[in-house]
Amino acid sequence: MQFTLNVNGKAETVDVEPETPLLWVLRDNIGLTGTKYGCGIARCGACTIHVDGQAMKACQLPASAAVGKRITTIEGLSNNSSHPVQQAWVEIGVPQCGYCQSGQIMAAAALVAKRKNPTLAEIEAAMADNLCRCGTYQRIVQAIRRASELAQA
Amino acid sequence: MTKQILSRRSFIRASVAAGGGLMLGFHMPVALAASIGPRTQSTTTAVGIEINAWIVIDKDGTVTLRIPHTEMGQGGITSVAMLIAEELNVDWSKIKTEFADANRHLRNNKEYKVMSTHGSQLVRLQHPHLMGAGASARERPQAGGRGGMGASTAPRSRPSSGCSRRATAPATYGEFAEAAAKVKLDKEPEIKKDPATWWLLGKPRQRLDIPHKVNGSAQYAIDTRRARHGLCRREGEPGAVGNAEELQLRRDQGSPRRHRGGAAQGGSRQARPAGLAGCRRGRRGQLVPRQDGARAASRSNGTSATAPRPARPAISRKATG
Repeated sequence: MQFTLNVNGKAETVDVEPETPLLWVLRDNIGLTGTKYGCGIARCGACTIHVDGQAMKACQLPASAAVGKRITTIEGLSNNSSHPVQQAWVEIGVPQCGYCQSGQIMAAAALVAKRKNPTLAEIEAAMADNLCRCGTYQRIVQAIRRASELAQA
Repeated sequence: MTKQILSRRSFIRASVAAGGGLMLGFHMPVALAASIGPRTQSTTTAVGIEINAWIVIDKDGTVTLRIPHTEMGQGGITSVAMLIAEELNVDWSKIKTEFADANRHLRNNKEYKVMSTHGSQLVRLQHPHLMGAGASARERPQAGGRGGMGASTAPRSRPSSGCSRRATAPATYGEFAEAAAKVKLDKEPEIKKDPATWWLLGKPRQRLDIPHKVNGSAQYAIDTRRARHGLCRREGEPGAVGNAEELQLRRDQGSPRRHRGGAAQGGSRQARPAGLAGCRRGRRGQLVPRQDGARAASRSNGTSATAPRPARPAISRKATG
């Protein structure tokens, strides 16, 4: 079935089965491989993207459910990594292996957009579904706090 | 649906059990995935003059260092670049990196000496030849009578943004690169062993891989695509969440394991209703999509289309991987 998705501000027409997870449409059909496959059951957060500004797990979201919505992936978060969350991530040096970091950054960006000065509890709640095998959690918390400062500067 | 809590520990356990461990080394998009077929000597992409296998210098003075080791978040790219740059005496801001070509290493009698990355031994064991590559590149123009990249054969304690000819105006690295590439030293220079003489090693520098990991451009094994690259989905995915009866039923049916090669072949995929029944084992035991028709089967088997080989039998429903 053919339908059009709005991905990073661009109209992308794809021909896939409607129940195809959006993750694979983004990666295989559109070629945006920054969004990663982790668990496939929406538990690890590696595939987190924004749909109409909300953080969502692309591996369990049927592509057809995203029609008419604004989809943002890590590639479309900013030009030149200029989003406050990306700047903070570089400044603090958050990633280790980096595999989960696209998802972490997208979840953090959704939080920072919603809350100007998130508390530790709010950060932990917002990031609870994003797992990191390298254990970069402490730097993630630091970077989110720094990103909220940068966003207000 | 009841929300399940998945701890980091259980996530690691589950992912290791399912995939034999995720492949987490990455490469940067400027470096092409290595190919198996015959190609030109290098599949790396730096444009400039190659001084040696590790170092390419552009006319504008940009120095590209080829990293023959894996970056898994341990800082391998950065530390290898620092080892070479220490001896090369090049301004750190002029350094770019890309991954070295494994095919070149194999074809040219292990040109990079060692390409494996293991056991926290990269810096400890590989620093002599990595620093030696930088020292050699630094000294070559001098040996050719054109001054040196460091202007002196004596170890330097600070970086240089350029080079100087003896009794002439300073020149850029780019201007020296061509001459340096042609020179063969009678004896390779010693590396700087005294930490007191190091201007770069031991100093904190931001990891070079991080900018690629915050914008989605870092490429991992799962992101690699090659000609005739097959992708299959695991039976039952993406509906891996189910009630006890459903899960038991899948176990009874012999839920196939993922191929060891990584998540790329184990990921849930679109439009393959037969699951693994839509796949077969390739020559090296890997999963490849089953295609209809003898011509397609022969193509997947790597044989000529004019002499089709019959498709192999379907993968056993029993877990074998």
